[in-house]
Amino acid sequence: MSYLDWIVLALSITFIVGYGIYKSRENKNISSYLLADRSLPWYHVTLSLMATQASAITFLSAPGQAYTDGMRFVQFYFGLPFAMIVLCITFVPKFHKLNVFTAYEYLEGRFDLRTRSLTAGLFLLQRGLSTGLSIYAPSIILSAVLGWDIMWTNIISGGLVMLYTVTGGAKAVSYTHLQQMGIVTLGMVIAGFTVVKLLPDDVSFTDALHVAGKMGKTNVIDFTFDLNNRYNVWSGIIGGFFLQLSYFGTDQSQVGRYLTGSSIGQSRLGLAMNGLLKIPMQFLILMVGALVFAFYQFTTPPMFFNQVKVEQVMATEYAPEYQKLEDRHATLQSEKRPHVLALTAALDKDDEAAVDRERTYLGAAEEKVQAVRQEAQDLISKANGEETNDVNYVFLRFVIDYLPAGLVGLLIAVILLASMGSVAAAFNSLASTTIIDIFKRQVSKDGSDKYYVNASRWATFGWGVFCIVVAQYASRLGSMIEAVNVLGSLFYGVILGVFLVAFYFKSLGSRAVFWGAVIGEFFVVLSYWQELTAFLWLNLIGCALVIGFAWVIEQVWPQREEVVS
Amino acid sequence: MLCDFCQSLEKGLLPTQPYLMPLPETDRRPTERRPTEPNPNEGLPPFVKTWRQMYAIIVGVLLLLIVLFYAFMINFQ
Repeated sequence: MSYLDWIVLALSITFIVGYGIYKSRENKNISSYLLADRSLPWYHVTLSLMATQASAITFLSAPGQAYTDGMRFVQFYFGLPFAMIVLCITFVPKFHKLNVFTAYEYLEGRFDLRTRSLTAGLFLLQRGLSTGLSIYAPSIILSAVLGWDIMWTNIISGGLVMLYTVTGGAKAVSYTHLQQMGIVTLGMVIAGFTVVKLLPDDVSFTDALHVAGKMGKTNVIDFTFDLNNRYNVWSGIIGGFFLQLSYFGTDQSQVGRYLTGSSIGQSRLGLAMNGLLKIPMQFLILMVGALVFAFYQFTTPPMFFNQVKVEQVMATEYAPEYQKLEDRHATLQSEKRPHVLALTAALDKDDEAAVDRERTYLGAAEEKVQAVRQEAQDLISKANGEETNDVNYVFLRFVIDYLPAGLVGLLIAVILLASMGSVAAAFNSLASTTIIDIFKRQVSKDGSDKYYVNASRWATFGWGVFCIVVAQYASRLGSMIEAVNVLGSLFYGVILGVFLVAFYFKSLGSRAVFWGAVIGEFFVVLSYWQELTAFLWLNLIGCALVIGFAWVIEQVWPQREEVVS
Repeated sequence: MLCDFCQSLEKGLLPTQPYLMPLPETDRRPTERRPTEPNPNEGLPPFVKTWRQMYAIIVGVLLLLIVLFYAFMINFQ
């Protein structure tokens, strides 16, 4: 990185951390620390929801996902607008009217303390682990750029967030989200323009999309119904709906964001706007990945995008074998290039026969390239003794290799800030749940406001340390954006099932729902273990199992009769 | 049609309290105010009248996006 990049990066990070600490002055009590005094307008809520969901993983993994697998990942978000509507109608009014701090607090009133503790515990486990992954994502950038050990980059990137979340609480989180989203949007727009500008002079933006499209990267929509296909319209709408409903309705890192709204209306509008903006935003990020793919059709790309792993394999006995693959890869790329140029020329002339001919050739050539990449990946895994994957490095490598001075710093700041946004919300929510649902409810009930604010600060600190430790073990999980969602899908369906029983099945009691949740979680983990279905469906399965088992248990072992007897 | 007060007078039933015009909510002391129902349409953007309309817009935009994405895919594939 150049000096200019370092200056841009340092200014961006210092501004956000400093601003967060500045905001920490205003915390008077526990409501202020955990929910920003429930005083924020809708646009704060929207941007905070988006910043919490869009972690560094979104900006690192999504373009890489488009590069390797095409843009079909956008379908994952099709259930989100429906989830926002259900939240606006059901969850928001209930949470606001009861003045709860956490979503799980509501469950004690409806069921009992045991059910509240179970869901809070599942949340803490799931969110604690996935926040570790969110810290790891930007750490690999710092590690690749600075050549530092990833342990130190994990500590630094997690520690920066701890600096202002420990002191500032929810208000600092929400206000910094606003600034973070501004810088992130600016950075991604500039990245998109820069990719197009780097294309050869006679290749336009639409030509680049045609090149990416003809090689299968604009596969945005798939109407085929297939339970084992990860991304299609149906898994997105149905499975995605349950995942998003569970995430936004029962994950405190998101519930805590819209509980900061100054009224039911402001929280609702914040969620509604998230429903309108999220899919176009994700589409544009994936399109940047497709454009990067098109760019690399005119310039030879690295065979494997993680340079650190390449250097490692080149220092082993497998180096000659890897070199042979490199040569084959370079030959295939250079053979492809005249056909890519012929394709763009045919597109300009509207010569459909030539377009079809070149598309067929390029499709076959791309398959050969992917096969060589797979061989290289297998060889690296064999040489290093661990599974590896370069999806998360595609965009990063492109930024470092081709973006001009200043922009590299800005883009790295974008990735770091995005990560800080979601990690900050997660720390805040982990602390809220620990203090409100466990500490204040079950350990120390009669403390003063100041006492609980201090306890919340310690809880934030403790969770920060835990998540940094988890980040140290996150390197073997392939695409992190998938790893986070798989982890969520293991727990979210069950938690959502508990909430849906609470809202819509008034006849089911606490014992039925508690055991329904325990048995449901067992079967969800078993389904994942046995690879019975694609992970998105686990959300639906988990939710349905809780409702089904709770109903059966209530019929077989009715709570009310036992109480009467 | 007689008002409630006139009907009670006609039946000879005088109110136990002197009948007074109720004060507007804003002129009462805070302790005397009735809990007010929150405005159900609070927070809506100016171009939308009800939340139901807002939800219809969200679903409509999603359908439009699916159609546009499909057209995008067909055009560039």
